[in-house]
Amino acid sequence: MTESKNIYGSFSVPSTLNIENVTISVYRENEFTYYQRDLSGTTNKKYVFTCDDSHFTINPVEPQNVPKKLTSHMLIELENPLLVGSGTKKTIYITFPVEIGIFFHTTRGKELIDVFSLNIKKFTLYGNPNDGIICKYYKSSVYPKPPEVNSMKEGVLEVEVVNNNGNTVEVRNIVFSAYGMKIFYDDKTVSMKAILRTVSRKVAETDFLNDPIHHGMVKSPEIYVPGKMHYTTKYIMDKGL
Amino acid sequence: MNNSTQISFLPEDPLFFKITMAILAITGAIIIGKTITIYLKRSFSDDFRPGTLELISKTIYYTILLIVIAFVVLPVLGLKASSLLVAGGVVGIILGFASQSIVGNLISGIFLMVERPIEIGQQVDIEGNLGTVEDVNIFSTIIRGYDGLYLRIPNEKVFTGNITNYVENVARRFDYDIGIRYSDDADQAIGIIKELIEAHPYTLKQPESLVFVNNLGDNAVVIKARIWCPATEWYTVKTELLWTIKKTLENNNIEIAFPQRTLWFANGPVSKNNEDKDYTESGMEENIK
Repeated sequence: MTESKNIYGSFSVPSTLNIENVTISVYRENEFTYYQRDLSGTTNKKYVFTCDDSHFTINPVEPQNVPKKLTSHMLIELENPLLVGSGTKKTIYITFPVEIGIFFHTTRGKELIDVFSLNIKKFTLYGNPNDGIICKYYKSSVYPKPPEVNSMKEGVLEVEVVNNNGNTVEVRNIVFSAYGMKIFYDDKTVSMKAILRTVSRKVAETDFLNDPIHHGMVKSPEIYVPGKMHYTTKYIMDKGL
Repeated sequence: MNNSTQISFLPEDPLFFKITMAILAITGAIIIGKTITIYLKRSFSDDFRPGTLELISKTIYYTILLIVIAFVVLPVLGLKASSLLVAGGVVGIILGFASQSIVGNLISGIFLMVERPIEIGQQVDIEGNLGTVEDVNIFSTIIRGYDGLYLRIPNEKVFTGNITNYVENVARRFDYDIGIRYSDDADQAIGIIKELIEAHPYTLKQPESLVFVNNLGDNAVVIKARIWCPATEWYTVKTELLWTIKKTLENNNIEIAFPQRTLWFANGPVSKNNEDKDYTESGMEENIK
């Protein structure tokens, strides 16, 4: 894995940006603003705007939007199971998939107009078909310190694992709710900070913290904002760890 | 001057007054119910699934109507619960015979709303009627068939019939049987199929999809692929993946087998008397001599 500078940030119109095999073009023509996303030379998406946006923003967003908004949960499978001793608290680092959001600035603020991902998209079932939930799936190694990753594809998730119950707990999967995700970025890293509290050998609670993993990072706009129904940012993993 | 003269704006006919009041109360209840329903739909349409929100709205709407009828309309009309019970007994018998199916549909509709085996927007098969549930009313269930046809099914039939709900569980499985030639490498074919399943975003990581040789058939080695998908996406995946598998196997020189029979012809004519004799190569030679 290599750490490289990303292109998150604000850009003026017109701009053409290349992100691996994806080309983003925003230009003005005949008093309209055009947004175009090409993948390997083929146009994937094209929008025409009637508003006079002078700039747009590229930010990392919650990895729940492509290929389709099927779920608001993300399951990260650990390549090697994590054994958490009784009464211990340990900080680990894992990776999560990043989706790239394009925002236009309007009078109502930043508005998301497109999301794409350079990563593999995969889903999984957490629990049983009758009472489980579909989750976005990702597999990660466990690192003792923040790994170096391509921040256009992956982010670093700092997880504080707290085991206050009397048994050693084996953690193979961690499930998060997108409604709690707080994504921060700088020119090299995309990050989130979360906590995993074990309740028993089979049950745990996950939540996100509104902090970056290091100072100076900028917060990304949240697409999944807790609302009337999705009021909690926590997720109770009651179908096994 | 007569002081006892009363000026009244009320109609003189008390029955007319009562009926007017009852109609006003019901109209008011309908307006309130509709207003609350519209408010709910506007406020929570992003937070609920369409079917759930529709059910909540209907429950609130009919509850308001029932409350107004029970506590306003009936007292205004001067009807008491006890007299209703007596009258209900007699009327019930008449209605029971006269409108058995209507009452059956009504009760089935109420039970359907409580049990909720189907919800609006779900893909179902009710007694052979396949489609998407458009509405669950008090008396009937409306389905939009996959061919776009409007289907109205009486609730009694829905409640007592067999229902297959394709999307009630969040994940479901579908199977493919892929027959390849005996001369092809089944292990290679299994590897290719597994890779294609893995590469598709909507095939689930867990439960794991299975690919294995299921049958050594007359004309083909039959490979079974058991694939799990989100219930909302299974049909898309099913229609996409099979052709991709076929093309990829063929690109790797693995052909889909088709029924065939190999015929072996003798070198010369065989007399009828020798029909029951040995037809192996040595047997043929013996016959010709």
